[in-house]
Amino acid sequence: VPFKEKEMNLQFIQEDMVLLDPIALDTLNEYVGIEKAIEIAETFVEDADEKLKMIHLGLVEGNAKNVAYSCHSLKSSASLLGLIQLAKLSSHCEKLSLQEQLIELQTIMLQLEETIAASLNALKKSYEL
Amino acid sequence: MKSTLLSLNHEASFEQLSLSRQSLEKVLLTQSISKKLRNNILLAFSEVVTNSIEHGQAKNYEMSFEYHSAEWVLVVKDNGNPYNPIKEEFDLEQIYDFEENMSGRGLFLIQQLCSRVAYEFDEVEQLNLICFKWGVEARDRAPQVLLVDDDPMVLKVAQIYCEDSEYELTTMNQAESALELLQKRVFDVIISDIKMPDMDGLKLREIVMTLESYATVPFLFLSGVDDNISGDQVLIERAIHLNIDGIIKKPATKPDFLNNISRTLSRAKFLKSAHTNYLDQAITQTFLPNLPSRINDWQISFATRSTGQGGGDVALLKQSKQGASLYLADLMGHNQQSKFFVFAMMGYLEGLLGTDADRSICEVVSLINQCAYSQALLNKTTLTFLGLSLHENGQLRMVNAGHPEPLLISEKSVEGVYVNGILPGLVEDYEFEMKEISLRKNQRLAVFTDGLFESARTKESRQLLEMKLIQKLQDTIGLPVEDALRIVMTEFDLITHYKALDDVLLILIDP
Repeated sequence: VPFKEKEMNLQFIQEDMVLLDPIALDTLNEYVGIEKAIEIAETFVEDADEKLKMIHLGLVEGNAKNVAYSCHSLKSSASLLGLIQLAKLSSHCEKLSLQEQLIELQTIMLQLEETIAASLNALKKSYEL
Repeated sequence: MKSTLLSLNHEASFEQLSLSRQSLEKVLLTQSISKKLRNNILLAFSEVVTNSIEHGQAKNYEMSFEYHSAEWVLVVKDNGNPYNPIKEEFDLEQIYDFEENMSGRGLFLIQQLCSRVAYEFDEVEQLNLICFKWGVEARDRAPQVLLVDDDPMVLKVAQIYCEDSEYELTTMNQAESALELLQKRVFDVIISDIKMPDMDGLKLREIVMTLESYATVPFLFLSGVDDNISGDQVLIERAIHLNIDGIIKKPATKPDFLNNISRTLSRAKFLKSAHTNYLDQAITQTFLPNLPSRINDWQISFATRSTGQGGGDVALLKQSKQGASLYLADLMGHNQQSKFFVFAMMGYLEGLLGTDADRSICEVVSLINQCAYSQALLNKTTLTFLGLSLHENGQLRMVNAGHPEPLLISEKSVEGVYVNGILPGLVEDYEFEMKEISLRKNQRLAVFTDGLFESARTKESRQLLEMKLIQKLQDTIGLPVEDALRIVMTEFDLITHYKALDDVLLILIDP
């Protein structure tokens, strides 16, 4: 079951937390048009699962380098779409994996998963996906 | 304007077809023709000749490939059984029946390969004649951009950014496959992510720097530099020591992305132009035509326009016991490497005509053909060549090697003077035809290089340029040759906004 469809009991995401930077999204809409922005958002929605899987796989294999690549990639995409919390958390995860602190990274994986889920929801809501 | 670039006559066999195809491909590679169009032309030629061998029992075939009024024209004649590939309007449902009835001649394919096709059977000569025409493509291809990034989202966004831009973007998700592609295709700018699994962007850049053909091609990194990550600063420091042209920060907005490409491309173009101009100005100046206004009984006037780039146009005069001979050459070179060979060819032409040997124009053109065919230093350059020998009472002889047809101007008409001849260096021991014409007092001959009619960007504007200049050439027939030339070139400058896209040499000759 794709991650985005899981029903989760969110522990780390607060109701008043700003997940999405509307200015970043407006900028994207302005430059590429709403239809293309939706295409980009859809690509992110599809791709986020794959990136999360790669992070999990890297953790299982103890491959810090691959974990760092996936976190880096997640951070870039999230930044483009104005997903500020996700970009910040991915950056932190990338930093931990580059420092080979995979055990500590394990402890925030649930937070990362929740942030992805909440960010995707926010994105879907914005674009009515 | 018409230029015959290749003209061959062979026994109809697959061995000869293969050789003819190679010659045609060599010619196509010298022209500004996209790969797709090149393949279509080659395929159309191969299909028709294969048909004539397999289905038509032809004994011989003739082919010519020409540039004619902003169109590429391929004509194939064979003495096989008659057939008509265009007599039927194809109905999709009937294609297969039709193909079957026509013995698998691939006629549907032939129709799809070109803008226009015409066929006729010459009852007298018993020859099939098929003529294909393709419109000349826009002169300037879109700048080719290669983006390498392992993140599909980045590739997707970049594609969307480039959709309505002037750039043609190609994306690769691995550095290794990008390197393979770089061996096959030419790009004007390369953009790469830094952090990628397997081979990273830094390694990719290191390898690209060693590729001879990419040494001067701009290279940008597209990277998500993170101030929170200490390792990123190290990567950036390593990156900036790899002779790159800049770093685009992720996430890049559309203006960020496109402006960086634009800035980098224009800077690279400027540097290249400044570098080549320095070389050009020192050498090309010595090759500028220096013709007298009178040669025996002939009045001569000439004008040039130089882009300061590429090869160059040369006009050389040889006075001998046989009379005066005038030679025009358009030497083509599109990069710095070819420039050296262009200059070598220019030196060779000067040397050849500077000797005491009293050669006919036909001998000179044949000699150039042989040298361009066999000498390593000279066969690196493509050139068109036209030789004219000027005699008494308006008599004039002409030999043409792939050069635009001279124009014979009179009060009532402007007509091309066709002389059969191919580009020098394509076929060994090629026999060039010599044509003799006689100019009356009220006629004028215009000889020129192809930049005259091709110095406009689109097919339509090139046609307009050609039409207007031909009109001016005709309108000014009653004026002295220098005045006529000035008026024609003023028109040229106005239409091209004083910015010729190719070197131009126009010579007007009055008997």
